[in-house]
Amino acid sequence: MIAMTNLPNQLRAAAFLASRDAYVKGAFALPALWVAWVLLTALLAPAGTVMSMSFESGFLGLVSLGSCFGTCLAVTGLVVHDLSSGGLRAAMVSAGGRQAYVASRAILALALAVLLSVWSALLGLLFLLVPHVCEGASAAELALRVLARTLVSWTYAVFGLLLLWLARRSRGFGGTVLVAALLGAGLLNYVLMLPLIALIPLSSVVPALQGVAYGMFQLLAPLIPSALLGSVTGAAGLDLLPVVTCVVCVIACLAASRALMARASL
Amino acid sequence: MNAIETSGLCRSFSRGRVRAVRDVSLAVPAGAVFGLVGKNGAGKSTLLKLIAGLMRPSSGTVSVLGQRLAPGESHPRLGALVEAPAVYGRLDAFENLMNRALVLGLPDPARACREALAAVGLPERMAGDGRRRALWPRGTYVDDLSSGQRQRLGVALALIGDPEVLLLDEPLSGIDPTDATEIRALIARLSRERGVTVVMSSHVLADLERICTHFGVMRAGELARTLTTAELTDACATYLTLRTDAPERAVAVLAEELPGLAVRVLPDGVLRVSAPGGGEPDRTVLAQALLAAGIAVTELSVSEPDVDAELVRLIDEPPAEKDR
Repeated sequence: MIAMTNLPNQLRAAAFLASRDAYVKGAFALPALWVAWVLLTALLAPAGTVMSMSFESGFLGLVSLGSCFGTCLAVTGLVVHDLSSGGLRAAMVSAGGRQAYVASRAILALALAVLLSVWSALLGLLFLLVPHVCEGASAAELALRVLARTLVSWTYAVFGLLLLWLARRSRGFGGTVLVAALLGAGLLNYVLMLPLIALIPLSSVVPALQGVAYGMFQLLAPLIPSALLGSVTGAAGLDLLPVVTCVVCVIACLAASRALMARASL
Repeated sequence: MNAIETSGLCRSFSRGRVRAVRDVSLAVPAGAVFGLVGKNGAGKSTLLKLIAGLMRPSSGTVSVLGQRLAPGESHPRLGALVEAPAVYGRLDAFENLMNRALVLGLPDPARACREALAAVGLPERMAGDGRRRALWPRGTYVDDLSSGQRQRLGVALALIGDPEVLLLDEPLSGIDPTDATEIRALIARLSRERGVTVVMSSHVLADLERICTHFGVMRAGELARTLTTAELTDACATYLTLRTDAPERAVAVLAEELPGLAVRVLPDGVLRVSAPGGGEPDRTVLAQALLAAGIAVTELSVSEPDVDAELVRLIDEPPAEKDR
């Protein structure tokens, strides 16, 4: 009960910190810089140069950068700042502070994933200004793909929260960007595929294991968050299984984070 | 009523090999200024962390303002500065306070921040003013403040939200003498006028001596002794220091011949003799009594009252001494 009453306060504080965090600002600036670069390259191309660009690939590439990497960068930066200089204490010395802190960061990660996806998608529309751009997918399909990236980004970010709290080490700029890049590139997928990754070297030695490895791949491939990105094949909708996978991952990471932070010495 | 109560509080590290806090049962009366003293590693900071909910006890309980706290839980009416101030280095002081005010859900956070800054004397040009800046800070990042200024910010963070219980670990460390005087006065005023209970540790015993109403002496993780300021003053009343060739016999002779005197044998065999009420014992009568019993007095001197010295003695006292 105490934790619930403190959650709105923690959320306000988290939003306040996010509004002043350089990594969050950087996460919003990156897609804008990327679009500016592409537009400048296209519009300032020498006369007579014929450029061909698929709007869909440019748009989704930008959304992936802005949403997956951007969310992980913003969340990693915020938590790194929480971890350095005892910032955790400022959040946790309050009634129900520990649980509310974990929940507030997870909710903030979702808010950032949504905002960065929308921001990147809006910027991506500027690719329509590129001469000779080829349009492929429908607007509804693109919207679904943005939605899928938003959910995956949130899942990656919540997994990142767990890892950062587990390590409880503050990092410099390079370390923060590296962690964000690993998370944004889908570190969680590799962790979930660990049994398969461990089996591959063995299967090269024992041929009988190749079949097992293939079977395991067939089993695990739909059960990783990134499967959601490839599951949108039209405007029909998202596959339920990868959506459930993402939600289960988020719940599991949050439960583990909550248990971890409940015992943490500050 | 006690503002803070702990019962059988223990905290171990390294799988029980290091026992930082051992079976501490503490009662701090509401409105008291409780000075916690002890050597480095005596367990003062760990005890404060356990009370603040920054750390879970291995065993034992903590109650603050009558509410028994779950392990690792903080009380909403408690402010704490334990070890280094909990600050975001790349925010200014005002923003750090604002973050804390938002976490506490204060109704007018900006006003609370200004009041806290004013209370610790951190000027606006260093603290910032909370006004939004597009890209560049108007104030100074906390990382750029001196250690004394950071410490003052730490005290301000503990004060924000008008807590009823304040835990301050070395609050005056690194602060210049003028500001230290002001902060000491502030702590005393909070206790006197608003009834705030303060538990404060410091290695500078003079800091504690001036404002504390109670003292707790920690040794090797144990709360070896608690005493009021009056008891401390009594304990360090004027006394005679005697050196004899037979200290144990001298104690027995004095107990028989001059039964009103309090006689203590210090670890180096020196006798410390004080009269009831803190007055100076009659040294002629005392020396005659010993000489009559055939005990040679090799040294006799009068010691003036010294609270610092008494606290140091309590801190340094070997564990067996407390049982005498």
